Amino acid sequence: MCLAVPGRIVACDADQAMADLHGNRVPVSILFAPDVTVGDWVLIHAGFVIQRLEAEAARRSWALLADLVENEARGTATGGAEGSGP
Amino acid sequence: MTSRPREWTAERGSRWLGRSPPERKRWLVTGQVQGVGFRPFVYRLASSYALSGFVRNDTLGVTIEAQGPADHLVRFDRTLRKQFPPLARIERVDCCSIGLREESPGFRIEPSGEGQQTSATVTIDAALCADCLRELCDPADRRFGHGLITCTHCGPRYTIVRRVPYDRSHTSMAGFAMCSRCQDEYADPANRRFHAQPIACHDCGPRVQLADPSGAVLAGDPLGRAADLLLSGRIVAVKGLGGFHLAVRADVEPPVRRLRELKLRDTKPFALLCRSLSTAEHLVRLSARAAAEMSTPACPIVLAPRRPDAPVAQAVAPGSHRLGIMLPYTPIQHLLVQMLSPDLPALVMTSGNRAAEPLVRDNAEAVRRLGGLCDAILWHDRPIERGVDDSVLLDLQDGPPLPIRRARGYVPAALPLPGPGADGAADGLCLGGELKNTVAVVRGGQAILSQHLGDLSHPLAYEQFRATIRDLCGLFGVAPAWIAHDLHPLYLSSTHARTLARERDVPLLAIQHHHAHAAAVLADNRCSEPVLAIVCDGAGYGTDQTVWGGELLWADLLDFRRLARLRLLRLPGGNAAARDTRRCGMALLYAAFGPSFAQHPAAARLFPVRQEREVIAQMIVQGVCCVPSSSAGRLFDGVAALLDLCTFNHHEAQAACCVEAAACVQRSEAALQGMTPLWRLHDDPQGELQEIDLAPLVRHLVLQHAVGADTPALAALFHEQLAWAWEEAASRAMERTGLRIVGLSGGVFCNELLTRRLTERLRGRGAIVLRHLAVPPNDGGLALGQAAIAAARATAGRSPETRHSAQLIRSGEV
Repeated sequence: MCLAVPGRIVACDADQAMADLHGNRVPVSILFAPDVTVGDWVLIHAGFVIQRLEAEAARRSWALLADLVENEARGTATGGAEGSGP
Repeated sequence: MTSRPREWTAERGSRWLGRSPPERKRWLVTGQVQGVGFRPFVYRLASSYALSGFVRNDTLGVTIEAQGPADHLVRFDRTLRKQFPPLARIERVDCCSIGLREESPGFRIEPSGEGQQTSATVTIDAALCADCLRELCDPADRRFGHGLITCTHCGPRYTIVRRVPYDRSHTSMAGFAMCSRCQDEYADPANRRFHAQPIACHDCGPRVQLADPSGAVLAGDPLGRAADLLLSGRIVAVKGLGGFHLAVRADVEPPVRRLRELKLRDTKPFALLCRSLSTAEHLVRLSARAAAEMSTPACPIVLAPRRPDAPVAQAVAPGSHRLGIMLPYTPIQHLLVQMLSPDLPALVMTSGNRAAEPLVRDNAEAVRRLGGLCDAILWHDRPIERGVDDSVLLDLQDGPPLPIRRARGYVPAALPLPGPGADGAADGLCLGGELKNTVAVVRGGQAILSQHLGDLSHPLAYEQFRATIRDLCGLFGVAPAWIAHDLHPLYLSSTHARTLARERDVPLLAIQHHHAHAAAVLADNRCSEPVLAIVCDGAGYGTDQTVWGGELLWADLLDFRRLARLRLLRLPGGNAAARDTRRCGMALLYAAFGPSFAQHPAAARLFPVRQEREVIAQMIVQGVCCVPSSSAGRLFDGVAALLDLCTFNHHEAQAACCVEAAACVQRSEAALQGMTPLWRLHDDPQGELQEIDLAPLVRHLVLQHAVGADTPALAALFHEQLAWAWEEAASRAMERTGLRIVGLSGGVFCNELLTRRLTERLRGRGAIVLRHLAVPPNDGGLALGQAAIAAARATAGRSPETRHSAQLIRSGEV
């Protein structure tokens, strides 16, 4: 399963940016979303920002991902995160 | 819009306005939305959608309530977010649905609530807008040819305000009573001049006049006569928004040279005023981004590569591969360029002052200080309240134009400070550096930077510096609870900070120069992460008794550590070496060839007189009157001298510009193929501080130059090697620290070639590169960096004066 995860942009260059994913710093490409700016919540898939998110949607996604991890741990993975990739 | 079936009920029938049921919404719009014609814009927009409700200014911004058919509200909302007035800057639009209200039909502009203190609304001075330009040129319009035409969307603001709130009686228009027709326009919410404070017309406003150099007013059409004088090659002083300019035609040599001599201006380039963007394109190669920026209300000067066949006198920008161009932004400038013949490409439009002095802004002062520099003065009687220079941007190939001087059109727009809770910091004051000084007030998580104030060692500039501090505090209602300044104890700004701190009994915060640069590039990118910062400039007071200027820092908004630097040079005579580049050349020779360097032929080329050469050599070898420095600026100076490009800095960075200009002549990359590194990276014994040693590069340059190698190729090689050395140092630091973000700051990064090559190289190593966007990389951006550090330390729970004791000079007692 490939997931797109929400993150927050903390620094922006021309087509590269640094995203905060729950405290981890991950460099991402903003080639497909050139208008993002520092402070934006974004959806990241395979190292690419694929769209901007409302803060509320990002929080919901993180909650779902947390659920998923918990379910996985119990061996009953059933959930999917909002914004699941192809 | 709605999927519900449309039921016709008596209740709804009475309110049925459109295709969808009525709703009511409330918007809160924040940002620069007051004093920019936002309320009349909302009024017109809401009226066009037949909405009822109101708009008003309040403490947070603009509040709108509108009621009407849901689909109208949706379209209203969409337009509101897209087509706001030209001077408005929207930060946020918050919208929520509220209950319907019984109210009279129609939309209204409500006065600000009683007792509600609106935030001070002083906005930027804006270039003439398209509507006013059309009226200016329309013989049927009542303001046809009026030299001070303006409306809500353009004209003077910051340069005419005396105190807040921004209201006609508090501006330099106070002395001009509006005629009844202007009054009607001012009072009509549907009019473009609704509440536009500086409006006037031929009947009631200030007048444009032409005076001779002694101040005697000349009869006849002032603009026509001024244009004739300019065409005949005379110099005319022209009053603008933030001060006077000196104008002369740019295509003939003798008048431009005469202006240079009178103004005591050596070779520093003059700016050009072009009729239009298309004429400008004949003179320079402009990027799309720079062209767009030139056409904004800020209307800055843009430095762009000149076309080889540009019909411009050599004396305009001797030795430079660029020209500085701008478009007309005042009605007077528009009228002047229209009266000149179409084949005149441009006018020189340089600031009205002698070299190094601040701008002249007052009519009487113009007679006194400019009378001897011009043949006539084109002025008007609307006073200018503060001198504001033209802003200057550098056109870049690989990004948005870089600010070099931030003033008219950008000041006093607030810059947000990064970091969580920056808005919780107490109000404060930052006094910047010494050269290219700007100051800043900090208020509510934002820094409001002053216009470029210049070199404080000039008495008039120092006077303006002190006046501007009072001025900004007054305009923005700031009573500083702390004062930040540069760590250098002898900067005039630091001395003044101590005086102010004593007077006001507030703590001082001394901030290391290059840390402030690093924080400035962070704040400019709204970033509050720890980063690596490459800071290259002329000189800044270090923490170790040396002068810094080529540093790689680990930095965040609270603290910094030095990871690498350029190898120290012994600069004979300290500041003397900043002017006489041959001294820097000697320091480089010593570093490259050792104690016997004075015997090298290159030394004899720098100082042909033997005694002089030996004195300098002895000073360096024995370290007498030498300042050890890692300055990147002096490195450029020394290379300029060794390559016979420039032996004396008449103005700051002149020699460095010569090296860059020479390198830009180099078109082919062939010279850089198969390049081997001509630098070394040394670790110091503790392994903490790395040192970039460029001695092999200097030896290579000297030997190749001696055998007659192509100077542009050597200059290009120097840039490339320097970029490579920094890339390597940064890349090792990235490995050591795990950081991926690299900021570039300091005046040396006004060098387009070095910045572009280093950026490319760093990106190739996977770095995220931060460069300056809103403030200059040079010392003009220091105040922003100081503000960001002070705000971050305050919100990190540190008292500004108790931490960083190593960097803090207990200067209160001095």
